[in-house]
Amino acid sequence: MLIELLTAKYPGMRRWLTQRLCAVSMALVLLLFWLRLLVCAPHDYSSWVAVFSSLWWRLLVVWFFVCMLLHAWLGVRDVLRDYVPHLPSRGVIQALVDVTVLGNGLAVLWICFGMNV
Amino acid sequence: MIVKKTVKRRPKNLDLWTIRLPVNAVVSIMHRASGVALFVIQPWLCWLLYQSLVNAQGYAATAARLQQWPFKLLVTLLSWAFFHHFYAGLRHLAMDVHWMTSLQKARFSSRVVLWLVALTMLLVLWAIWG
Repeated sequence: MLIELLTAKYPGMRRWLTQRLCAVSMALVLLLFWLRLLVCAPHDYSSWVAVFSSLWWRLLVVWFFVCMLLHAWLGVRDVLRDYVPHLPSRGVIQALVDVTVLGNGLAVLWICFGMNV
Repeated sequence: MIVKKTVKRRPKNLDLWTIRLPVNAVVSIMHRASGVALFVIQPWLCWLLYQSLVNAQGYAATAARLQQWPFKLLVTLLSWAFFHHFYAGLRHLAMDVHWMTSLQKARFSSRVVLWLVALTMLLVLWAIWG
């Protein structure tokens, strides 16, 4: 029953579960970030860069943003479906949201792995 | 056909000033509002992250900017949005696994969320303004 709900027949259920899994994942990753900064709080530029120089931190930052943007995209999509009944307007706003999500994701990917910190 | 007619005659009340939401609905709608706020501010947070990492001057500029009161105020409001979204989100997750779903328990957990947000915000206010 539960597995059937997650097949292509019920795309809404998969979106629902994706959003929840992203939420749980973000909560756990945030806990790790918090612990890391608690152990050794960066106080200047070099110590801040040192935090970002470790690979696991950068991978987790990217993972966090992937979860966050997916979670937010699904959430904003629901909000627009609830409050913007005028279809052309909703399409335009949704397109703007899509571009923002993509842009943010690429920006974080570039900050963590593109630019040489 | 009969169903359609009754649907059309149903009374509507969309006057926001006369709608009084119960506490669980207030927590729920603020979960939505705070989520949208956090999404809208996202590009700015990305920009801050970039600025703080690009070079030492960028880091200093970011640190200095965050010491100015308009930015402190913004960070305070964002902290509220984050912690409300976080605690209310945990409550929604609990309800997703059928925990605390009766009306009485839902009202109780809404109050718990509001108190947790208030207590956390005291710490945040102390950390930012104290």
